[in-house]
Amino acid sequence: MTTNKEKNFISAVVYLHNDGVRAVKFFKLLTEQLDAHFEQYELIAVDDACTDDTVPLLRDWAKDLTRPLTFLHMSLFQRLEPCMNAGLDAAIGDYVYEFDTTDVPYPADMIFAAYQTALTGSDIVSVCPNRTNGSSRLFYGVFNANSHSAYRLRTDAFRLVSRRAINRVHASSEHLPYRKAAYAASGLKMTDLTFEGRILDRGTGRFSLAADSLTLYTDAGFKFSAGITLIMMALALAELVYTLVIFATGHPVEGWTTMMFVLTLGFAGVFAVLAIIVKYLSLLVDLIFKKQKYLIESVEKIQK
Amino acid sequence: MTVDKIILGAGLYGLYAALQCGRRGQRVLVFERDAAPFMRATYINQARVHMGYHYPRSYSTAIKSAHYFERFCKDYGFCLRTDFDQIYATSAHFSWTNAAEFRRFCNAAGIRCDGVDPEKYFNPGMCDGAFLTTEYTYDAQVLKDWFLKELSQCPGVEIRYEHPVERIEKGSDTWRITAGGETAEAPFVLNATYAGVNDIHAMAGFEPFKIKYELCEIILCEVDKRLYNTGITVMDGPFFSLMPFGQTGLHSLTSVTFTPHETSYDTVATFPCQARSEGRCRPGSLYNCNECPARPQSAWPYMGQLARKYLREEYGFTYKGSLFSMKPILKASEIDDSRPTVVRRMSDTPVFYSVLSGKINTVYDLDEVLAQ
Repeated sequence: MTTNKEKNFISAVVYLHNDGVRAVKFFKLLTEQLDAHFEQYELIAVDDACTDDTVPLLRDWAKDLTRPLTFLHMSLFQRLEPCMNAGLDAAIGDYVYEFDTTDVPYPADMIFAAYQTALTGSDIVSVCPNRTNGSSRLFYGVFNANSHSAYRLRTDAFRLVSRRAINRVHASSEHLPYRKAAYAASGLKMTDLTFEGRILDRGTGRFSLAADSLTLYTDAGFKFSAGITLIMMALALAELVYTLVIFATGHPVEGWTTMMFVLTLGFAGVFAVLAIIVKYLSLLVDLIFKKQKYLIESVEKIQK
Repeated sequence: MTVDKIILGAGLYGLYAALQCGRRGQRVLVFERDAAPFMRATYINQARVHMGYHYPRSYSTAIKSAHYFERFCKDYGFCLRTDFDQIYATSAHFSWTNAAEFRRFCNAAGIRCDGVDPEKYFNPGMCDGAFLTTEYTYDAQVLKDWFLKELSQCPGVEIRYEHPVERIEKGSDTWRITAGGETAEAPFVLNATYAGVNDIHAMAGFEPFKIKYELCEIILCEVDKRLYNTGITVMDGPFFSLMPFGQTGLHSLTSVTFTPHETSYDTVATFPCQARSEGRCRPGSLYNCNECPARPQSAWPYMGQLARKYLREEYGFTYKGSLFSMKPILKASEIDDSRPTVVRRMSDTPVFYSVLSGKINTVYDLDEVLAQ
């Protein structure tokens, strides 16, 4: 049978946590889209310890499904990132869709549009809303300002990644604490598609994820702590100068000068050592976390 | 017609038993429902001569396999292919074992396990360990020809093809079996019908084995030069195996998740596809899946994709064809994935044995039974 459908194998990884009926609605929409455009695909539902009827409902819906649907049942509630990592490890597709939520604020044809965009040479395609809420804006603002990546991160509804991108991010680090940032830092081409609307808040656990991501994928942590240390050292040194001035010009109480010398010199020394320690720590994170020291997007050779 | 032994099924276990008894000068009658021997499970499987590597969660199965491995290689060396590197790898994710555990297991079982760099064969991060092992593959067609030649020297052995068992009656000291319109009697019956074991039990009024059935697909592949002398097995979970298929020059591709197409938990295999088999197959009477018009569509897109996800790009392989067969799995062996050979004495006088084994080299377990 010949069809005009795409020949690449597609995996769709979907995160589920007590989504109830919405999960079935989402899978219906997803399979409609995939059926229309792809010859071969698989579905992977990551059940993050759902306690409601999400899984039975979906199982029931999947009875007549002709394509493979894999459930990954997580042992206990682990939140989005570890679950999606598991889903990604299970996926076998040439291209993998990552749906972090079953909420669909975007037009359904964006799903295939993302694939078409990928074919034009983007290993990572993010589909992003044009409106976001304040805390997301703050996080991405800080993140992008301190990240060395060529691409800006944005709030996204879902994304499509190529097998090449998955292999690349796994080559540089086994586990991905924050997939989006790992993709952006992979050195491969990343494209954003924008739609009209906003996505719902993703709930709890985002603060620690944000802190981890900033530490691992940006210089924000190092810059912040190094900055504070240097300011404190400068303050201690200023205090030292003030002590000297008072000693030369005024008549301090006996013992004050000596005490101030010890205090200011001591603190200046401590802060100087701290600055060095912070630098060492950031180097260690770098060495442990990032196995590959350089990243290439492609190699182009011009020959006569 | 009265004989010493009636054997049901002309697979490896059936013909092995027939040959052992035939050589002792006994009169043996073999009833086979297909048109030739070795048409089902003996031929349609990974063709692996198990050394035990496959069972890192069951030492007993592993040690037994290793024990029989040498004996099988000595007796049937002519049908083996041995000149390839058999690589076992442990998947980095979703595996029930890991590199260190696998190494420990091999040491305990006393089988070879030389570490090689996983990245030689696999994409980065896919496998946490890869090991060069000793394991062979057998060629069912070569083995079949040998058995037929040997059996032709035993005047007491007769094989009746296209004789499906129709009725089993118990007499005072013989079994009376009707197959393909022919009736024979013997004081000893060996039921070596593998997936049909419970069909026979139902006819004889015995308690069924507690098994489930999987309709399995083995994919045959043509492989690139780089893979030609290499077999790859990724353990231990939803992974795949791509290894030489006997002496055919082809590789068999199987995967834990995609090889079984459908599963039946009924006592006798019951599948929706039986309704489309144009009357050939029904619960209680299994037709040969490989020749059935209702055989399923190939899972090649999925299995091929799974293997490609793991293997480095330079190891190429292409689809050549599919083989289908029914595989019974003892329900007790799910957790530890063991594959015990079950030989059960169903009746004392007259004697009735049923055998169920998923491995070729444990055929020697029959010796004890046949000595009677």
